[in-house]
Amino acid sequence: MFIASTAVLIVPVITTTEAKQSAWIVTFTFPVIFGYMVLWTVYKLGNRFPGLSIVQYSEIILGTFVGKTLGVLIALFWLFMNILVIEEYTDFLRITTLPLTPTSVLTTIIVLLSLYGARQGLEVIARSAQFTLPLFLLIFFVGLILTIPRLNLGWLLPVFEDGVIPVIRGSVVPSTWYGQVVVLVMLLPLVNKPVETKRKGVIVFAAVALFLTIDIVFVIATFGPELTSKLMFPLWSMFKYAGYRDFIQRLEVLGVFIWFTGIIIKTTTLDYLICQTTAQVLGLKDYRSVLYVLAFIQIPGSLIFFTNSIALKEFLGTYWPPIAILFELGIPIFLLIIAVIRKKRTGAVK
Amino acid sequence: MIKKLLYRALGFPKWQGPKGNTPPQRPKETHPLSANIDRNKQDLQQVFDHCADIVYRDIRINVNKPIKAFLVYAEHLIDSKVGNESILRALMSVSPEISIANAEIAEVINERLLTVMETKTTSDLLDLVNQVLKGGVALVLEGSSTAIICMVEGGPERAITEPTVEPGVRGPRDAFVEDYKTNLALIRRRLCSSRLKVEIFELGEITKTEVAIVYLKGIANDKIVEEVRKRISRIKIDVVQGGNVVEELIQDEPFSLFPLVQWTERPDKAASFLAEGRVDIIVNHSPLALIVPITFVTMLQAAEDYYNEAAFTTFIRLLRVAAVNITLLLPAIVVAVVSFHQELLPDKLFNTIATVRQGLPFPIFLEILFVELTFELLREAGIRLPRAIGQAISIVGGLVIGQAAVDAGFIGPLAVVTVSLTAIASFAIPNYSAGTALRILRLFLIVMSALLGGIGIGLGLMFILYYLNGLRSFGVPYLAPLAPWVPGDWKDTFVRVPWWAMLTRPRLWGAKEPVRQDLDQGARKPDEGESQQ
Repeated sequence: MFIASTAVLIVPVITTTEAKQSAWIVTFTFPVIFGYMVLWTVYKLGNRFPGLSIVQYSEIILGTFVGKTLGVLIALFWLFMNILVIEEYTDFLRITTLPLTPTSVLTTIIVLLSLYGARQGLEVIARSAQFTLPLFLLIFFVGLILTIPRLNLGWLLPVFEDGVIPVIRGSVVPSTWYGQVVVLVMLLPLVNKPVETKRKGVIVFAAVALFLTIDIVFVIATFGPELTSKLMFPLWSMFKYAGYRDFIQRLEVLGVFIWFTGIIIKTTTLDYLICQTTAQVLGLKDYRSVLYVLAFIQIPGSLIFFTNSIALKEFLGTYWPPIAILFELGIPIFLLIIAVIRKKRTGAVK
Repeated sequence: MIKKLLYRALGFPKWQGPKGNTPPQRPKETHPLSANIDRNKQDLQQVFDHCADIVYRDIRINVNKPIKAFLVYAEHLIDSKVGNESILRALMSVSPEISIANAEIAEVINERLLTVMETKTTSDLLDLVNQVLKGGVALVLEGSSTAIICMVEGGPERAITEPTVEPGVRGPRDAFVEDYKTNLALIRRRLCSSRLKVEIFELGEITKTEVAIVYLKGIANDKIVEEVRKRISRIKIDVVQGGNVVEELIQDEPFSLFPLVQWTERPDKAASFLAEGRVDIIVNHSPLALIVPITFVTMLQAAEDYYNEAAFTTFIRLLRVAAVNITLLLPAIVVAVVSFHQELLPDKLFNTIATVRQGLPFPIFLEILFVELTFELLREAGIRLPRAIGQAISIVGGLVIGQAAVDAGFIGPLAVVTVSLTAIASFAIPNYSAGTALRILRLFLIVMSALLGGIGIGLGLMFILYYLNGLRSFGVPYLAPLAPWVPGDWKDTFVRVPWWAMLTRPRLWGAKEPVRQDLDQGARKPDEGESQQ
């Protein structure tokens, strides 16, 4: 399978799409460190077991039974994450643009579309991400530039007013976004230049961190911290503000549009991951057969779990971070430690 | 899976093709010629039973001892002038001094008497039959089991004319014709290099159509050439009607909305594609050369681009990108904005539209669909009709229906304006096949946007993006060089850089000899150039 090394490009799209609607991050340092740790662990594991995915090497490290159980758990984690993403997205659409459309219709269409993409394979997903990324950046920066006249930099001060603790607490949730580089545990064996991945990963991290920081600085400077924390989708509101005179207005449509492509690519990637993981656990030859089953789980899944955005936000803020951190950092580190102790490896020592 | 369903729908119980319905596999038969001339003639008459256009001509060759012989040919497939001059006269006015031993009759006649450029010898009757049907004159001799075939093809043929589908202002004025040999000559004339390789295949149980693969050795990627060769030799079919049959049998996807094989009627374009390392496929009786591999941006390139100034071409190319977007999106966006997102319009524009749309009976979606379908009907009718009546259609369609429908208040001018703009934009796309694909996708997007507004368009576009990214033309990703991102190949996509900057061949399909020309040959002012030397 020929996969451009640019599969890594999916990662920024995945990470930033989440961050769009949440301006209540006050920092970017801790999440970046967290994300880097995840990346490092994943990379080390990938180095130890070249050409194998987490499902395969966890079986080597922990034995077949425990390994397979872990594989199932990981598949469930992707599934749950995907349902969350779809839920967030339909929620956003329901509030902003399509108040009267039944959610089930939207969910169904999005799930079917992402399954179609997953069926096309990782390469197609990667290329689609590559295609949309420039557009994404372009629209984002146009939006930012047009907001400049409305900025009030005074809002950004004072720094560390309440000490460091709230900052750390605030960085828990964003950490999980950065931690989503963990998708590489499945993707790494498919990337055709794994050695470059680490370097590229670092670059991607820097880019994403920069991106998010700019985002937050702009949002807070536009609305002030008080208002920002109360807005549901601050960046969207900010794009609403952006404009030049009378003829460039309502940029939030473009914003929604481009954010939306990111979300679709993200759910597609997750779908792909679920299918791959399941297929590897079950020892199936073709991951595509899992796709059809997946459709029946996901559509009702995302309709039943959360009925309103308050519940969703509550869940995302309270219960999700521990789970995410466990799967993103905990399991890979655990595997790495066991692998080091039991001296398991398939690749040559570098 | 779709393939399976389609085969089911066509009435085959299994898609592999059931036992009773497989095409007859005829083994390659042979039937040796005998030394007895009368026996040969009888055999031939039996094969060509009821073939009124096959002519037999008995002659006698007066060498030291006269030899009985006869010519057999298809009446209208040969050039009778050359036949008279070079075969009949050559054979019938020989001096009797030439002595021929019995064993080498065919050889001596072939080498010393026949004044025809291309001859073949065969000792197989069925091979002889095939050659006669391809425009050969077969000479069957008494006492020899070898026949000589003189290739003097002729007969009705169309002259080289100006390109009609891809006309240009500054480029050359010749276009391909139906005869593949002429077409090969037109390409060979442009690329005077022994590296231009031509491989000829014969396809079709009945048609025996020649299909030529043309490529530049050392520049085209060997893997792609091999792949083309493989795919073409895999074809087992009864009739090759035209290039399209070959196209559909060799492309990567069984059901592709977008063309995965480019076609052109311009030899200069075909030649320049060869020089980029692509492969041309020339099918006999088809005035179009097929080109592989291609990408989506090939659809936006016209031959004329390379004869115009670089800056102007860049402008035109950007215009075409806009045209693609308008063709694909404009009606969908209008539907979405008018029926879902009115708040996106500036106040004044909103007022204008609201005033115009007052009292209209149908929603904008139906209006646009109606006008769109009317337009497609007009276009279809216009293609089929003789040119003289075609004019009337455009008047009735454009003026009467358009104007009257708006005046009567069935449809609003907004829909008419939208569809007209879309139509004009769709004509600005150089590739006809790509245009048809976009037309279908446009209808899809209109429906999507009527269902879900702007989000529907977005979902539709994502679907198209996934779809396009999944396509490949002979292994080359369809959206390259955009995705995968190959900045080096951007010089000839949305922009066209001047020739001095076209330093490398496209890298996508691994063309060998990547460098095209010397560095820094750009235009310079006379004194500067001298001072640098």
